Amino acid sequence: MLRRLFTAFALTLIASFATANEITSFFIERIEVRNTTRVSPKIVVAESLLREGNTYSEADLRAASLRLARLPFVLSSEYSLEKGSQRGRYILVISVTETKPFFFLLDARPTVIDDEGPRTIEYEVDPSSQTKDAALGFRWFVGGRGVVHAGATARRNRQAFTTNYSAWEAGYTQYGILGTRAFATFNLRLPFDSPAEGLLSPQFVTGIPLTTNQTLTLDYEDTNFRRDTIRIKGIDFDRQDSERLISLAWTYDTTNEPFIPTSGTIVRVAPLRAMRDRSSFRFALPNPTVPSGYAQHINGYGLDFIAQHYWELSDADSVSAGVIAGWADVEDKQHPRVFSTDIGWRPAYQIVRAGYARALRRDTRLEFDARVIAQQTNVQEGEAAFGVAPTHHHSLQTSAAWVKRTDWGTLRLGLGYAWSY
Amino acid sequence: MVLLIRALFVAAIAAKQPTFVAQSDRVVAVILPASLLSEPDVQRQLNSGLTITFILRSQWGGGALAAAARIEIRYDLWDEVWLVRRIEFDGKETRDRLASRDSLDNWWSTPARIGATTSDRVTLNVTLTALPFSAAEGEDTRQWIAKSGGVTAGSGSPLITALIGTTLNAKPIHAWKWRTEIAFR
Repeated sequence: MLRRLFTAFALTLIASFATANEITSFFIERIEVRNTTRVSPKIVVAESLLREGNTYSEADLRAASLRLARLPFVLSSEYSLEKGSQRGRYILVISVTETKPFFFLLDARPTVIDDEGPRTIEYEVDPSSQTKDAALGFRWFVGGRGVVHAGATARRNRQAFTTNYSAWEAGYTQYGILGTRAFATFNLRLPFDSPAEGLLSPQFVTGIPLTTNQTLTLDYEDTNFRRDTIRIKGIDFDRQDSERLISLAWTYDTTNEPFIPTSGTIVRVAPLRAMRDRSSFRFALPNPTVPSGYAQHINGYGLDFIAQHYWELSDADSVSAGVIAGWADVEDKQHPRVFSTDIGWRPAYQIVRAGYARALRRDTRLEFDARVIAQQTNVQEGEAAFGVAPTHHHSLQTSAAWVKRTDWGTLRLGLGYAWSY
Repeated sequence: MVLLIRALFVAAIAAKQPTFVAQSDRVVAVILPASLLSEPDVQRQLNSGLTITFILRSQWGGGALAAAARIEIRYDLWDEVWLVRRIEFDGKETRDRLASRDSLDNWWSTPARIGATTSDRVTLNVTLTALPFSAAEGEDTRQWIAKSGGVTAGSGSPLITALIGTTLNAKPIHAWKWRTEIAFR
């Protein structure tokens, strides 16, 4: 009886929607942004991707609302309509709760590594935390569609042939370039946690939202870790260590907020090219007491893929699951030649992760995360050369964290445990 | 004085409690109090000119069985009428245009059928979630139909049940939870 009833229900519902589904849409003659004190209303409108003089459905407005909620300087936004100048025309009112000009994104989750087995590599696995924004700093809105920021940032790439480092950063972002959806950021960085002291290094990021959920981003970075001259035994040697990184990323993002999403999907596909140039001196055969110059060039090609979905189980509980995978091709050349390596395309990492989060209060929650590193490249043996002696290990990594997101920023405190097998 | 405060407190709680009704064919209906529409955040969305969607989820049999119903309300700013729609657990759909807020309150409080059972006595866990924007558009609608069909088919998966809410992918405005016991004669 019940089964028949339920089948009838499904058929009836499908039929009713097939015939009676109507889409309500609204002609928006003006967009007003309210409750802003620091955030530029023009940027809010530009990033909503809604334009005056167009007709939008509620689905369009919902997608725009979610897009605004993912902006790092907007804590939340509410949409409402008011009557326009004529019947059938509307004024869209976006009421924004903005974040403070000081911002931080701090993730303090030290991992205890059981090092009895092969070495465990810690990968950045949280797609919602991957941001080109500085991790700590100030943000000013200038000139209607511009944002200046200054602070400290951390670059974290999963590919072993690129360099992770922290840097001081100052930058400017222009939204709505030439009236289009495009944005561009120019940063100057000064690495302070890198192979050398670091020199002023430029970064240029430009992107265009294809839809409210899809964005195409081009990232160009030149990082100068060292450029000096050293005199050894009366001989001057130029020392240089620079890295150039070019990546193109397509991102599909329907999550409900940045940093701590509880619903939605993130998919990102990012091919990248890295070039590393080093020159210095060394003591080598056949005259090990006499320094001689050498140069090294590393060409790295990589592809990074991440897909993650968040499910809201209840008001307080959410779960997430996803996969992360990377492929790489690295060519390592030296002069004078010691060895040359071209490993060819091969898997670099394969990670499966799952998480559970429980909201404690409005702005805090507990997170539990587990991930299986199905494949990883052992950088301990390969180091920057990557392909010299690549060995692959498996590891399990877990972490628990307390997270708080307020209008000041996001703080994640916790502890992780990892072991290889 | 204490008695007066206590009476007011009890009355305030009672005003936000729905009434569950046992109907023929072992159908459970709920009468929602109009006070729910007066919650400040709900009121704000009601006045926004955009749709507010209410998802009614009920579970019984220890969570093994579940059903869903949906209510949508939008105030048309130009016609100055309330456009309402209700889809009950068995797919029965009603639409209306209401000329006043009083009419809306009355319509809101008419019994909404939220599930059916084969038992003589059932303990229900009911969740009412208010969400901004309409669910009845495009792909969301198709997903909602597919998923709510799955839920009412008796799969009883809490995850699938939750997907009714996450399909909308919007942060809930408000949520209420109730537990009740219904006996059929």
